[in-house]
Amino acid sequence: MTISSTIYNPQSAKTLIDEVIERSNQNIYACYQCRRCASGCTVGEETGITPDVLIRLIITGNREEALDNALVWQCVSCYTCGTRCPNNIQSGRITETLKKMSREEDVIPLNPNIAYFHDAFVQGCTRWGRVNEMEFMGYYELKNIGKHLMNFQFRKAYDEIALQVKLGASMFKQKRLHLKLHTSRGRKEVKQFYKMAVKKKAVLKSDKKSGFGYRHD
Amino acid sequence: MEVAYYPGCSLHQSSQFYDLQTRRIFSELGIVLKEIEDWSCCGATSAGKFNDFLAVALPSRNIGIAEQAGFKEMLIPCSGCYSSHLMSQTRLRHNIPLLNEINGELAFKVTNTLKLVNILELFLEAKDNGRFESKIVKQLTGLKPACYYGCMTRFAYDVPVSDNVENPQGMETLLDMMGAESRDWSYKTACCGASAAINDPDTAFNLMGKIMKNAVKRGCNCIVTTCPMCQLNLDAYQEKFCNKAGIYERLPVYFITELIGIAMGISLAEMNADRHFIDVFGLVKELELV
Amino acid sequence: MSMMTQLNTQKRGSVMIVGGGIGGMQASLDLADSGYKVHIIQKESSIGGTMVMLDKTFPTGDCSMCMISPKMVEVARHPNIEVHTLSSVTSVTGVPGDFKVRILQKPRYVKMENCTGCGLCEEKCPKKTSSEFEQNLAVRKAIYCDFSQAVPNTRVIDSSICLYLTKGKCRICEKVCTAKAIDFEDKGKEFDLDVGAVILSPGLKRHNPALHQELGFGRWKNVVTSLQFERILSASGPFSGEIQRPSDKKHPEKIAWLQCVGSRDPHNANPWCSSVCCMYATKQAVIAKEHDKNVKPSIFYMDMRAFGKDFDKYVDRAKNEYNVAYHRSMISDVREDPETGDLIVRYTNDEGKLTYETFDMVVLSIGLEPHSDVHEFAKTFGIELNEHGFAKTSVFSPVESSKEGIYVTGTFQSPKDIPETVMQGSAVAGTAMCLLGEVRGSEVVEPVLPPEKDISQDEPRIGVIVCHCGINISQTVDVKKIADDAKSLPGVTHSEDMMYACAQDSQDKIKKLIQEKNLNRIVVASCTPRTHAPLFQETIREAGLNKYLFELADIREQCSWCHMGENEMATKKAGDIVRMNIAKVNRFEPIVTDSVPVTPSALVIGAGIAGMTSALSLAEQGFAVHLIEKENAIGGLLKKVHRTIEAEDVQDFLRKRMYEVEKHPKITIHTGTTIKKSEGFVGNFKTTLSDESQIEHGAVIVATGGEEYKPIEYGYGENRCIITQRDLEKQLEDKGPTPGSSYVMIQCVGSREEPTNYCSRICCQDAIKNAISIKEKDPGVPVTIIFRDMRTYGLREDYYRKARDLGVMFVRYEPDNKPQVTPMGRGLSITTYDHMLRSPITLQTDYLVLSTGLRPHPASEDISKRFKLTRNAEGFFLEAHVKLRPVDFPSEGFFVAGLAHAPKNIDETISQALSAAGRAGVLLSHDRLGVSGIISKHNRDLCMSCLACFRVCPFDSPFIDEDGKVSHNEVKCTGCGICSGICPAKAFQVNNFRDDQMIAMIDALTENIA
Repeated sequence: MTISSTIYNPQSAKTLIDEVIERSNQNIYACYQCRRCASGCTVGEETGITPDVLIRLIITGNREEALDNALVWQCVSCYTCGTRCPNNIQSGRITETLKKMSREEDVIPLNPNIAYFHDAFVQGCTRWGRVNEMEFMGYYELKNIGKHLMNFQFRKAYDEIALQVKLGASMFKQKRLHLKLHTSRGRKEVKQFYKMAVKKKAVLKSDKKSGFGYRHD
Repeated sequence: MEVAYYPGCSLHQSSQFYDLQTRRIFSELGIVLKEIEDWSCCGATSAGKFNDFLAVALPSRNIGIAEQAGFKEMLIPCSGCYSSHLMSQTRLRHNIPLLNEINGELAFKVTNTLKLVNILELFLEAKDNGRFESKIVKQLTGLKPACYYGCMTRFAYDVPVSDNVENPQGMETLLDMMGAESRDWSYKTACCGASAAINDPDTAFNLMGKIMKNAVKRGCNCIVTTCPMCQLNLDAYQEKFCNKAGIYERLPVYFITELIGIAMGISLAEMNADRHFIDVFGLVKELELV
Repeated sequence: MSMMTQLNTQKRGSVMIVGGGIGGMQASLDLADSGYKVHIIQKESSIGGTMVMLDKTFPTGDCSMCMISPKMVEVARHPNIEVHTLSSVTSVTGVPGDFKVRILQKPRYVKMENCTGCGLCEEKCPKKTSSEFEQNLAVRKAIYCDFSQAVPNTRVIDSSICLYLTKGKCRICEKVCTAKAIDFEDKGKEFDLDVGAVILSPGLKRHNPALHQELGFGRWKNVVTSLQFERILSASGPFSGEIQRPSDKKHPEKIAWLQCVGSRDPHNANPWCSSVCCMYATKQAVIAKEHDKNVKPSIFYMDMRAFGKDFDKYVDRAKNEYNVAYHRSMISDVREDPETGDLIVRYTNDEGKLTYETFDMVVLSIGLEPHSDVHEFAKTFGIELNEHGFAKTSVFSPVESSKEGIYVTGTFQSPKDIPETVMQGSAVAGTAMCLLGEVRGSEVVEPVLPPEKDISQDEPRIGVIVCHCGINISQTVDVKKIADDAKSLPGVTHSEDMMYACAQDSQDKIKKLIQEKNLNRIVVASCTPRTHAPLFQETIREAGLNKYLFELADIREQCSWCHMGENEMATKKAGDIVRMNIAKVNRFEPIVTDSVPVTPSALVIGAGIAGMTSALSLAEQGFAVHLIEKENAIGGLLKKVHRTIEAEDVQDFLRKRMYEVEKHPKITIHTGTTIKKSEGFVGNFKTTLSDESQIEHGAVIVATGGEEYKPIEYGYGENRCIITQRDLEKQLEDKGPTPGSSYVMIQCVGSREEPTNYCSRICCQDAIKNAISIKEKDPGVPVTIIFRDMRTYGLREDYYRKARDLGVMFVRYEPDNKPQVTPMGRGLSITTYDHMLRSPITLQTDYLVLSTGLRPHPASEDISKRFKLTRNAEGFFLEAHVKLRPVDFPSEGFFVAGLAHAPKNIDETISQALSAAGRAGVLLSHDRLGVSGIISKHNRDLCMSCLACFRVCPFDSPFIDEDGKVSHNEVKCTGCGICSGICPAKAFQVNNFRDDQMIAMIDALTENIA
């Protein structure tokens, strides 16, 4: 992706950096600009922007582009970048943080399906205590197809329905779909956790990093 | 020997046969799995994307249930569930205020005494204790598995990982013991895309295409995994991503339990292995393993 | 400098050195040469350390083994050095000056005194294992010798695999050994040594790359470590110097080096920079290309740390002449193509695009780290380690451990390369000499040489040895043919070829040949006489021959190396060279040499920190020192430095050091003084100062220092906002950062670009130091450092991390796209290109701080001319050898220290100053010095006193004698031969270069032409 030129403002950059550090618990300042994260990024080709650049956008205070790019949405949280980062910067955590920040600031997700998916999952799981694959997929697809319809993208909606119906049918055929509703009596506790979570900061600050990895003789 | 057992949502639904196989194999090995009462969803990766607190709190409930029921050890076969629980446990061990806060809501409090084990750890422990000795009736000769671990060995936190993070060996150790010739390959810890298969299929299919290509080039004749998500992705979408990547070969994607089952003389049919999308019967017949 | 503890015990004139790598060997030789008994304790079965495993060294491309082998031989044959191999120290008691050390020596199972090193036992031994020395690329036997030049060259039995020692059967080696050297009853031993001081030079281990499974080491066959690659390149290595990849022995074309494996990685490995990998990877890429022109090297790195003297020029050459591709991108993992064994690497290219590239081979540039038993080691000696497990030392006393009388050196102190290790080897020797100054000579023995045989009545009986030099010579020159052809030449009695003529066993063989065949002259056809002639000369002297009855025919530098690939022609030329030298040697005669007394005092030029440190060390060693300084006060450039990067107080240290120098009774300070006139020669200089005082001295230490570059770049001087790091340092020391302001620093101002294309080495740390200081005083002040490569090498990396953690922003620039500075309001606006974002970035700042480099002091030009000491293109003095003689000048009696030599940090300057003092101490400790035999002889009978020689001699050795005719002062003569060339009467003839000898050579060459 092409990034527009930057007029560096140390104060606003610091605000952004501090917020991301606070919420992701990742020391972004430590970045070497070594690009090891980029070299190993699972989705690098797909996103066109890699964690090294994302970190740079934050460091240079480019809020707009840091919150609105493909990596934030398409990162699959495989944590390859962070596992190998010499400075233990877990970019996977940063993309998760930026996703939240981006939604708070009503940035339209480049790939809203991903957001819908995780919403549907969490809601499904906190509603019943267990996730019901049929139900949450249905919920997700409803939102996803709904989005296409809202945007008058009927072809897309049709394709999506066709794809999912096909998958569903084959899943059913392989006896991998189940219609029974799975629940847990403990869903009250689960719902309570959800309520607490909504009120909380995204990241638990008191976590301490050991600072050293596992690869020592 | 009794061990607490957390199947997770997937093993009760799309990967129910993995649940069945897991119970069966361990019972053959003399290990009784006791499904914990009224377990709830671990939140998978989605909870973490929503909120850290939720990602720690959701699995904690199951840990508390197992601990209060008096278990010392809990098996979690699903890689996703295992890593959510392990992450939650590690953070609760290092964050006592958080532990207290969460315990305040839990009917069954977390005491930080439970040992979480994944399916490979429990198998390897059984191996070390000689539990496999009389059970292996069939050598897996000719089986050249690409052992696929996926990215679930990686964590965004410093959690204790029992196997090598970048080059795990658990499946290889087990299968080679049973006569298989596992091959080292370059994508054993690559990510399959997980939920991206649904919400970002282009990305996920590209990732799976690369994985498949390397396994085929290595001369592997099957893929083995412990993760229901990886299994479903590589199996259900194999036609699609192979067509996209121009791969002609198709490889059966076994659960580790299925191969161990074969070595123990349990038929694939008994293990409900007809649930696969890509045929898993042909190869073992061809190799005369059944 | 430690204050000597006054104790009632008698000090001992002996020193124990733990670890016989290149640093330990240098310290041993310096100490042993200056009157101390030395014990080397070596864990392995041979001395040599890491350097013996390396192929070639940069920038000269010298063979590492060929450089170190003569040193090892020198150590082995030195009468005052005792090597205890397979040994380790178990306890140390006593006080500085008198330690009792307990040594545990493991059994070798081979009697050293009986073993001839013939190797038959090894050949017949049935038990194989993979060779640690060959980095597991080859196998060795249970009875083995790591490498053929090992010292001592005696085999050792590996008790963990020997069939007899593990299973009780075999004993084949015992049966085949005619020398009866095998001793299965060997139980090892424990013994005590009494020594005055202990020097620790245990070296380092290399990072284990298998800890990073994603990089494929141990998984993909064609992923090798950098040390394995050294062995692959090495002529004596597993593939005989042919570059092959392990999987299929194919010649790899595309080779990738991955930098920082195990280094600069606080998360998964070590946080420090290993200091050497950037340069060794560059060297390996260049040498690989030299071996095979089809090789296409690529280096993946994050910062190119070419901080040493002339290193940047070497990297530029690698880039421009050898087409080494440098990619500024670290690699996440290495994947293997299962069908070909090729390796696939993914990286971000210059355009910022992810790229896949396939390589035939991948080399992991593994870093250095302390030995795994380092904590136990430190406990044994009672010394402290730093947080990373390196010996704890201070910036101001880099070779002193936390315990008096125990010194540390080399990579145990911090990661460093060969020249710095050698330099510190001499530094630590000099420091030990300070402690033991008064007991010098108390425990040494004088070597007893056999009387020289009188050969004046004998016909020439020449022995010819033709050296393979591994494959350095033999891959181009048919060595056996040369040896065979020589047999029939006039005067030749014996001729043969040897794998390494310089190895210990070869020396023994040559001695034996001289005895058995009654040889009276020797020609060795091998490498350069510069490094190797003294070794062979000593050998033949020990066999009773006058050492000048030797000649070295250079068929390597002057033949095999420059005619690579033209084997037939090269062999013919080598034949010519050998024939010419044999013709010459036929006419050699014994040369009787003289000796001269040594004035035991030194002249140190320049009283900066280097000069003062050298002066103080020499004075503590017991020598008189004249310290001259052209300014009116001592102190030098350091007067403007307030803190080190470690935040230590420089001014406090400087004041103390100046006080020590001023009050020392052996030091005479001459401030406001320059040299008016100086004459003389090594051991006997006479210098007149500008105040007309006359000084007699035996050595000269050149410590003329450097000066800060005054920039013309970026509008310096035109705007008050633009300052230098030195100005900033003063500002920060005086009043701290200006509240509410911002700072931008630009690196490499006036450095690393023509015409001053060298790294000034200190500026990155200077910038980091000041940036940290700003942030610590006021975290709200923004600091940006615009850099080319951050070169915080070694343990300095900690401070780079600290600066980042404190929020200092770093932006990289390329020299062809420099930051643009424009005044804006009361400050400046700076626009530069951000390589990560691939777009311009503009910064507003109140201060622009220029990191200006170092220049040699202008006074060095005068010193250079006056003493005929050469300097490099930038005006820094040139040492005698960049690797092994880093503080010596080619002219004997002269030594260099500090910025006069090259830009360096305070601790490095101190190390080098101690080193120069150590080297000078070795010289000054001798009562008399032998004069070289290769000098011009003057025949007064032929001389017409035309004064032609008198006018041209650069050394003033011909003089007008009392009788009005020319005489010749042979002591001053260096044998340069100018006089003999110009003398119309042929009254001057240089020994071993006489006219008749040269004509014989020409005849030998031309006889076949007619």
